[in-house]
Amino acid sequence: MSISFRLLIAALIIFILAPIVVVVFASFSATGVAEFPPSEWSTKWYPHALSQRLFTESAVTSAWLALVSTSIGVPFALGAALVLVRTRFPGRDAIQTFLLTPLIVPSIVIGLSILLAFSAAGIREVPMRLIGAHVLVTFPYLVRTIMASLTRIDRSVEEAALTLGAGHFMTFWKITVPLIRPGIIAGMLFAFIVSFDNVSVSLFLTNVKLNTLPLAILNYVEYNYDPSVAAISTMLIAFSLLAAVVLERLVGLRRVVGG
Amino acid sequence: MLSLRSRVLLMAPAIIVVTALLVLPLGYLIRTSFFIGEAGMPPQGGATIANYAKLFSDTFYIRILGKTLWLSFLVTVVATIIGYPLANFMWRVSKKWRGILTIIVMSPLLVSIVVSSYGWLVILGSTGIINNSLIWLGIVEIPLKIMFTDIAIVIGLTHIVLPFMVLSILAALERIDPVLAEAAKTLGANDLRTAWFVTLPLALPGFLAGTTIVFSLAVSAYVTPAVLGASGPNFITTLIFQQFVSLFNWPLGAAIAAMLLVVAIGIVFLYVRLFSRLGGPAVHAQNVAARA
Amino acid sequence: MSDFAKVSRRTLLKGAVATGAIAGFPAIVRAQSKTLVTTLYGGIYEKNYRLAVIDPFEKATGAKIEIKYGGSGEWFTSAVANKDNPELDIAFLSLPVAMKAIKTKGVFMDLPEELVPNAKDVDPIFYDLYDRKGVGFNYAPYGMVYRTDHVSPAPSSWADLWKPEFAGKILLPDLSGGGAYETIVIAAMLNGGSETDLEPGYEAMRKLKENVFRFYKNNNEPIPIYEQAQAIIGGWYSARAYAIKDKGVPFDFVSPKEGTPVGVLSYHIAANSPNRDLAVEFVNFSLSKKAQEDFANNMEYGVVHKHAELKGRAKDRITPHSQLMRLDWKKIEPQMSAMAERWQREVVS
Repeated sequence: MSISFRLLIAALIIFILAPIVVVVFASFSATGVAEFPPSEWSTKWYPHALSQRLFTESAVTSAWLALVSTSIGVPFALGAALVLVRTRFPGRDAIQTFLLTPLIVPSIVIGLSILLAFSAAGIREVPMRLIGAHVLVTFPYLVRTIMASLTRIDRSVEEAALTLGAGHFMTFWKITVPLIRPGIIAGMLFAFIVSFDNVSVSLFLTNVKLNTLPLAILNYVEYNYDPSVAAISTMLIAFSLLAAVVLERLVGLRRVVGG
Repeated sequence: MLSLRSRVLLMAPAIIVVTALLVLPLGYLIRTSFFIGEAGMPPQGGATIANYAKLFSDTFYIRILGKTLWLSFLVTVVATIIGYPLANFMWRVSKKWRGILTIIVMSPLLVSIVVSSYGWLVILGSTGIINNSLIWLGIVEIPLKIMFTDIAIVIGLTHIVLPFMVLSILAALERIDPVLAEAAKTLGANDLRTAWFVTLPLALPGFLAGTTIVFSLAVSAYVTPAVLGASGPNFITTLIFQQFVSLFNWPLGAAIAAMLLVVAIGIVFLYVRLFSRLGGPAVHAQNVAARA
Repeated sequence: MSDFAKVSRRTLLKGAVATGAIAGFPAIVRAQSKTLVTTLYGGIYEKNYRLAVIDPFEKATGAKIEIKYGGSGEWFTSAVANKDNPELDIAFLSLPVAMKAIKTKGVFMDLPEELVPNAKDVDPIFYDLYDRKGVGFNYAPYGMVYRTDHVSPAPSSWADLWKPEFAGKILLPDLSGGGAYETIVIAAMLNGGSETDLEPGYEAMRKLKENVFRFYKNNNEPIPIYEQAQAIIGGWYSARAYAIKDKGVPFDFVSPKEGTPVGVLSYHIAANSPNRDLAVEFVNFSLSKKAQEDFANNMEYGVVHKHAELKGRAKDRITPHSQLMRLDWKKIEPQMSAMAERWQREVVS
């Protein structure tokens, strides 16, 4: 590999990491302005950010929402994935594409339509709307990862169990599930991140009591110019990186999205 | 093999969920677009295509659609150009490095869009890093206006879609038999020639998949054009938001949303058609494309 | 057990878990009865509003006030979308949006004097404006602001904005920033038009738009832009400008000779709010002489109370009711949708 090629790659990596690095640095700026590099260093924005109920409450809401949505999605995704991977029938591809459509529809349109439709149907509770929207946007990721896990496991163990007299369900529960568990967890973790970071889908659906962290940050930036936002963002980055490392160790990040 | 009844029982709940949460609400949204009325108020008059007529006859909306498609196209081109070297590099390094690079490349996805936008604010602003450096180096005297322009939108969107492009290409590269690259080298081709004439064509499915995903994502993006772009509606998504929140014309907003939906789905459709005509595993294409 | 039975048991479990998760969710633990949700603009406005209204009210009644941030457009959208189950008890809206609010049926309740006794002390111009369906709280003069070290002599007329020397250095509000509708009307009036003849206004704005640095979306955006002198002149609210001036920046606010229209913030209570009575009590409290004076003297914005006594700097910085430029909103309101659309297409695009 030539030097110029390596330089190009280095430049591209700088491009990718630039906003993130900048935010981390800005969080340590002692002056009230987010600047890079900071002229003076201070960690005071961290306790300040954590003392804001706006941030702490919305962080809890985002985490709860992500957890509930992905948990609800798993059983549905599991059932669908089993049928999609293990059986063959005309229209199977169509159903698969159908289940993955939430990925194609713009999030803002999803949020909007759920707001209007739920209101018209008389479902007024905000948690229902938020959960509905987040279950929908995370669902394709769950289906994909569980399908990928199912295709990778060794069927011979299952076949052995069946030959020995175990019923389908018993085989599934005691053999298949433990085998694909890393895949399920990886899918849930990635879906958790997708839900947690999602802005557009929640834009129309939150209210004062149930606000998501990214939206809270967006609100805050409109009225405050201090680096508290950078501090909260840095904590988010740390959390995401941790999740990324776990995912990479567990199944390899790329299986979840790209490969 | 699962019995028919088991299949239905296992599959039905998922289908019901997606139908109830996606299809029905979208249907309702589209229904709203066929009436005239203001925010949430009962519609005036009966069903009409007046909103759509307005959209298609008015150059304003067509211009915004054109701008959205054009900028998304630019983003796709840039992402392709810088995605390939990255994917190629990741393909050739050791497993350990590939893992680390994967985390790096995926960081825009793992970190919230709000965080990235804030970061770009600091970098591209008039007193941001780029301008400060340019002034310090004496290249310019007054700060360039980068923030709140179309260029800022392209930069911001490229940043977010790059992971998808890189990973799509990488996936395709990994399917290539490394023997082929070796053969090329034995026959005298240097790195660049190999990359261009041998590897690239073989990775074509990855490119096609990647461009589709990237284009869809760019067209559907909301936060980046809203935060980094100039005032006024830049993208169809921000136009939709403003129709609802500033202009209070919900039916028209719904019509624009429907239009966006058609564009987004149309892109994927087009790709699947194109790809199957070119040959190659259509299922792979669908899978990768739908991962957008 | 057959597969089927096991599957349906699983489904039941799923349902139970889901319901349990929803029931156990964080915020609902807070008691519903004595909490009020209101909207509020952030920054210095919030700071002074809390001082004058929220804190004393909370202390006097033991109630808890929750704030929803954002902008009037979003708040109104939320009020309409959720009208059967409002998330907002009080929508504290800016003037253009408030005009829409009073015309929208079934969302807000009326606020006659019988319900809000302190409204009798409110200058009628801030009450009848809303057909008594809402009531104003304060007014903010919208005038010209400029960097004193870059603009000399001080601007005296709205027409100064069109001077070529300010090209690229002007700041004006977008629809959500507050003041956009007023700008159109002013531009019209400068060129021979009026509230009912806005065409000259659009034309003037089309000429001006090239010179505008940015049409800001909220009142925080201009701060660094003016502080760094990327823009040196524009339209803005007085207290926001004085906040920068008081920081030591060479910046000032002027009332142009054609007049300063006012942005008024008004209360609109959700008709289906479970906390209607508390909301009405809150609105009434904020209209009391003391609350009004505290707000006026600290924020340096005008208030609606007829007899509020202004002290010190506030006296100089606030235009009295009699001198306000009063746009005829009754004529403007029907055109608002068209104005917004034309603004979007011809001015900011």
